[in-house]
Amino acid sequence: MPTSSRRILCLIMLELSECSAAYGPRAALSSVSLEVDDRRTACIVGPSGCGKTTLLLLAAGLKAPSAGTVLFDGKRITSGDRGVGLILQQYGLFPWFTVQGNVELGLRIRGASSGHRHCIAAREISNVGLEGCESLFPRELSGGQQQRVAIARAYALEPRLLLMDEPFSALDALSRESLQDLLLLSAAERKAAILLVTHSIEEAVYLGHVIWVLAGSPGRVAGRFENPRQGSREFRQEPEFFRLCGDIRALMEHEMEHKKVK
Amino acid sequence: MRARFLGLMGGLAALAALWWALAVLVPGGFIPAPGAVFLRFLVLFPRALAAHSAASLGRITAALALSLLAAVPAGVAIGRSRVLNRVFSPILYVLYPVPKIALLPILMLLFGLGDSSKVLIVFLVLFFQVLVAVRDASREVPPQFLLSLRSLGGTRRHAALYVLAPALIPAILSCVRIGTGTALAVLFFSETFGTRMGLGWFVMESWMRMSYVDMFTGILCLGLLGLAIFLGIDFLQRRLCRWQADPVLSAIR
Repeated sequence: MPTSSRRILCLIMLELSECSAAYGPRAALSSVSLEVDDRRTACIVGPSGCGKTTLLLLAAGLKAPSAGTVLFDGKRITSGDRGVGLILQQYGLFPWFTVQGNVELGLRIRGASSGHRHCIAAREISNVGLEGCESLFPRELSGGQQQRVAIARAYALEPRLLLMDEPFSALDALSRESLQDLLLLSAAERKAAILLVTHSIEEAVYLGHVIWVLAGSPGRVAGRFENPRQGSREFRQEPEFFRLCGDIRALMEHEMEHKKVK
Repeated sequence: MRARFLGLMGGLAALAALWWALAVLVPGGFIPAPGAVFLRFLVLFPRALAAHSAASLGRITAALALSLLAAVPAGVAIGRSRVLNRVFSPILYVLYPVPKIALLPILMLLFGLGDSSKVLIVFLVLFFQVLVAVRDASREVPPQFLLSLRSLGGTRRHAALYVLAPALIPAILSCVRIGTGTALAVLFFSETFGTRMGLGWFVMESWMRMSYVDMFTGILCLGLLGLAIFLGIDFLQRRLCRWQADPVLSAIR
């Protein structure tokens, strides 16, 4: 379905149109346009330094684009929009708060009563399977557990879009797979959309309904791949999975070559 | 708790042994034996020394509180604002190395010989140390914490409360720990002028009377005063920084 009709049907949760961004004189993104559909997972892959994290900051409203617009649910995104949850690299947990304190923080900032906070935190902590860890500090948890806390903290505000920056790259293979499944399952239950940045092509093809390839510096969109069979374990073993991974890799390599020639 | 107490007692015992060895080895009897000093301490403390110690402790506590109240907000402002940093850091670098004790005569002219000039001189020493430590620490707060907080809907007030304060407390405490030594030295010197209260006056006065036992009793009190301050800081650190795995603290815990 073309973008215009999806827009009319309100299927688009997040839309970046021709967004550029810069840090001082250094350009990070150049005229990037991409969408994330409601209740769908979009993955961004690209080499390091192509502005993936900057793109997430734009999507979260934490950085203003130097050109272009960012629309969330049809309206311009504002910083701290409750509908958007952000999980940064290294999980962004506050080391001085316990698991409970971290999960409750968003609600506390928004002035929720302590009873309400407690109730929501208990629900979210049990959803990610960390019952009994409420009073531990982040340093006492494994990387996988910390990522679970970060997911619980983001979900405590019931966002409709979850932004994640390389969420599983520092984990061992088994924790990574179980967290990927936890993420897909919980997003489906909550009817939330996900925009996930990764440098792993396999992860993008396993998780993303749509995969966007970013390339260059400043980054731009080099390609878009539809992936209707995402999220199934069998798909991971099928030739189609490897073919799509191969296509994406070929595009990324082509972009690298292109850069060298230039 | 028990292990910490035993460690403290062991340390004090070793110190007493070293002291005793010096008392025996140094000729002339200028260094009295620890036993004599301790007995004198038991006699003098309830009579006069308690009041002198309280006077010194009061001055240093007041100076510490004032310096934290002034230097922490100023340090955060300079550390977090590029403009303020550019304006104030050069000034800071000129004023910081000036030995504050050199300003004592001027302070005494301006604020009199009483408590205020003594509190102020210690305040000046601690103020610059805390200011520099807080400025540096607040510059090093990882941006990801502030971004995460903003994404949770946090304002600047929330950032101060939930990110800056907890991130800065360890730096503030360790800076106070380091500053306490200098602060006590400066306090001692300032107490030798214009007062008859405080451990500085007591030690100097005992020296004038050539009463080395009394003098060492005063020095013992100065040491105990420092110990009390350090234990207080350690207590605060354990309460406020439970989230940190501090190797120093876990060793004495």
